[in-house]
Amino acid sequence: MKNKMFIMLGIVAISLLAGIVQSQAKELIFNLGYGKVQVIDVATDELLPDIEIKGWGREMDFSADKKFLYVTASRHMIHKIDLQQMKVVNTIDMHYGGWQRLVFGMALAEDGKTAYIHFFSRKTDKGEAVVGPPTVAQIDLESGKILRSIEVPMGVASLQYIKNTKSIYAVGLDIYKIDTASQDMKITDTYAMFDRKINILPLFTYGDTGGATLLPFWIGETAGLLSINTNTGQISESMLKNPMMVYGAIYSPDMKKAYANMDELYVIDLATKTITNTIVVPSGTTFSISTSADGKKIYTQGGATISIFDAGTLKVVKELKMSTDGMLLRRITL
Amino acid sequence: MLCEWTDHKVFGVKDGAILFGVDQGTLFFIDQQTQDVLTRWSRETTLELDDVPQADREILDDLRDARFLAPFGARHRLQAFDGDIASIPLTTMVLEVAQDCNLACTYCYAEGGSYGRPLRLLDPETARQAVRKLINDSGDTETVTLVIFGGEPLLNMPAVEAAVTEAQALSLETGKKVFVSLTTNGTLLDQDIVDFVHSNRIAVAVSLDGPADLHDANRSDVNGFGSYATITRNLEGLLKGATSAVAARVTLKPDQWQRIEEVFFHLLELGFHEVGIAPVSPVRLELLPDAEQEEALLQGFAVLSRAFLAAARQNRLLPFTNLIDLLARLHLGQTKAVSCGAGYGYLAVDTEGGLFVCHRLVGEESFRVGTLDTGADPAEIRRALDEVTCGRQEMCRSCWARTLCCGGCHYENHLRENLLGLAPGGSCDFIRRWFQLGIEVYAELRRSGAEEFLQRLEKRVKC
Amino acid sequence: MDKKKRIEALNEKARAIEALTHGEDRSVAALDEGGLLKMPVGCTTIYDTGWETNPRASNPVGMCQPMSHDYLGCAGDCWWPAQNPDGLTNYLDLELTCSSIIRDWRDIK
Repeated sequence: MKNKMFIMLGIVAISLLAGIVQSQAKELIFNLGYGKVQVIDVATDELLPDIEIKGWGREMDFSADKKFLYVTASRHMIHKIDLQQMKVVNTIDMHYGGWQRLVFGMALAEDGKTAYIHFFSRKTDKGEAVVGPPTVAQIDLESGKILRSIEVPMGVASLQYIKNTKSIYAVGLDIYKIDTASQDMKITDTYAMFDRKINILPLFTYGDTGGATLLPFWIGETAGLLSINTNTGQISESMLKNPMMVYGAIYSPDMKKAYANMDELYVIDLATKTITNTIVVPSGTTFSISTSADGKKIYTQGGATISIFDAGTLKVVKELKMSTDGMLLRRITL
Repeated sequence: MLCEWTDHKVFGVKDGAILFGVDQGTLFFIDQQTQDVLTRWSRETTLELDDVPQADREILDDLRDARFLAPFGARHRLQAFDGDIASIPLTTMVLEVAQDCNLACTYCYAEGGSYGRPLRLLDPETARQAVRKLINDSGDTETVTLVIFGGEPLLNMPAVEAAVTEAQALSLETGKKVFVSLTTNGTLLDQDIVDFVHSNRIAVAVSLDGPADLHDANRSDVNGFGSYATITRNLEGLLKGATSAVAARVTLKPDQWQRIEEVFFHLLELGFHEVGIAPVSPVRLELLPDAEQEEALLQGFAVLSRAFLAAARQNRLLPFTNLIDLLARLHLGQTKAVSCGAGYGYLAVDTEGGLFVCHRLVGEESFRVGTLDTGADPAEIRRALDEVTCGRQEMCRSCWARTLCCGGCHYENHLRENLLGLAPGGSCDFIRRWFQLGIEVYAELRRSGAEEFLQRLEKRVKC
Repeated sequence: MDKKKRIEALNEKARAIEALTHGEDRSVAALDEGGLLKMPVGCTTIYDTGWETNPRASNPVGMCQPMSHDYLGCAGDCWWPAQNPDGLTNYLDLELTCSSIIRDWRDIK
């Protein structure tokens, strides 16, 4: 949080020095699509010009300085999008050196130059298929070069960077804590999920709200929310008193509530761990969810429809017909 | 990695051992070496795998893969069901169409079929109402079960016909399948009734306890005349042209337990498709067995189990219901969070439309949970079941059979503990030995490569 | 020594656990506790059919509704209960012909 404040102050100072009057922060929601990224201006809920990308988008992460957005596409490319120019300025392809690497999970490091990715790899050798072990690697974001790597258990599909401890949480059957501070990366701890029947769909991760990210899970006969503090790495679980089947969940900006989505949109009171409101999303099943920074609006994406809800009443205030189906929504305030 | 042992039980067999994973319901065969390592390291509840010498480590890793070791704190332990009763669809309704009987069996828990109340018959309209309730409350369930029971249900054919007709009409209307079964003493089966049973594909269970001398000693009419001759005469018609299974439902008193083998094969010869044997409930203290009698019961079951194995080797299914049900559950590795469906989707209705958690507890006022008009009250179901299950989970905590048994029959427990004042757990030893017998039979079947045979068994349970 | 000889799975539940250990997921169904509310485990940390096999009874039973909402999401890299283009190996440029399934489905060859 402190770091963010300094960055914010820095931006304001630079803006003043440059003599530019920045009347208000620009709040955008990025919809990761097929061959393009579409951008919603939260102030008007209108679309900005599309950002063309090659491939189908799967994951995205903003650089700490908010200058760039990195997008994984077709599970092997990583596009660097300049947030001023709103276009792709660099693309790296992890298919090189005879290996195809399929990326499931990406988290940017704080240095702005490298990222951690998780991949499965494959190649053919004299007509035989060769499959490499599942790997978490730190890569150079300009060249795609693998700087260092570690083998991880099968099943990882998303990565989370933990700031204070400089570690990576790889979410798979269990959560593997990977220490990155030392020369060699190593798994230092395992947070058990599989043996406890915690069933997580790690494909939809939304970055953090106020320093924490939420993963919904199903266990036994009910649902829960697993929260990862992205500063300290602390993991906590809340078992909900009501069942729900959801793809994704996200904290409300005030961290008092969570919103979760799939066929329905749920409002969860985190203090009582109960679902306080729910509505069937009129346009059908949704993958992804976001809120506006003020917490007044909720955005869900399903197919080519983005539905915008009033967070208080869960009434649909607008439906955006997109030109692409989508996978993931992420918000940023520039 | 710090690990802890999950609950397990080892059964020694001739060339190794069977290892049962209590909470997972898994069955493994392990060799002598694995058993030695298991015994050596499971003296401690926790174990640091990294400190284990390499020789043992490999075996322990295998055991960890098989979930006999879990990361410390991550052990999965099957918990008793504590969910929302209201959310469970109704799947089985038992109709007490007649709380009256034309026999006076010596061991009857329904007190001459009357369940301790003045004699009554179920009104046909109430029977229809009960069937409607079963269908309406069945949620998404595609197949529901209607059990026609008594007393002697054939004393009230108008209600039986009303229930079956209503079930068929609703089945057509809703697309749900209604499986109808009838339990009868078989004395009143005339041609009309047999035709009705055949044309409506009703599965019939006939209470027949064995050869004439044994059966008649148990099941005579009020004047003391045995019913064997009448029943076997009626049975011919029932079996001829049967459209659904006809089963013998045997009840034996402790002094008859040494005759189990004879009883079973006698009933098979009579042409029954299946034979299930129940040791009598101790409705009176003199029906409680002594240790020797209990041993005879187990030996009887063991003899039938050996016969079952011999038949299986020729790819024949010996229709010993008790064992088939147990083997099928062991095969699938089913574990239970409740001992039975009573109150959880299973209800019985008495002749006045009162709802009870199960047919055996009809007439026991503390197990009344509502009426057909008002429906079953989930809070009342919880209260009623608590009466027989409270504290049992604690009692069963260290028992390896807990996920197979889950506390046992509510009626038996109520009878023994609440009515007769016996200490809980009186039948635990027998239950454990019976499960062990089943596990050993299963392991032998599996290890002798009876794959196809087991698939047949599995199909039986799944449909 | 061969592992199979030392410890041999007997029943279906044990075989399912053994299969999982070997990275197979075909018999995960056997691990279902058969609880009172039957819920599938899957498309999730153990990669198998259907988180979206939700308990709602409306048609198409248990899938995303409309099912087009799930089509492209699973075309690339996940499981989908129908023939759809495999974006990892055979249809690498799927987005060029189809970026919105409802609009572009006729263009899929």
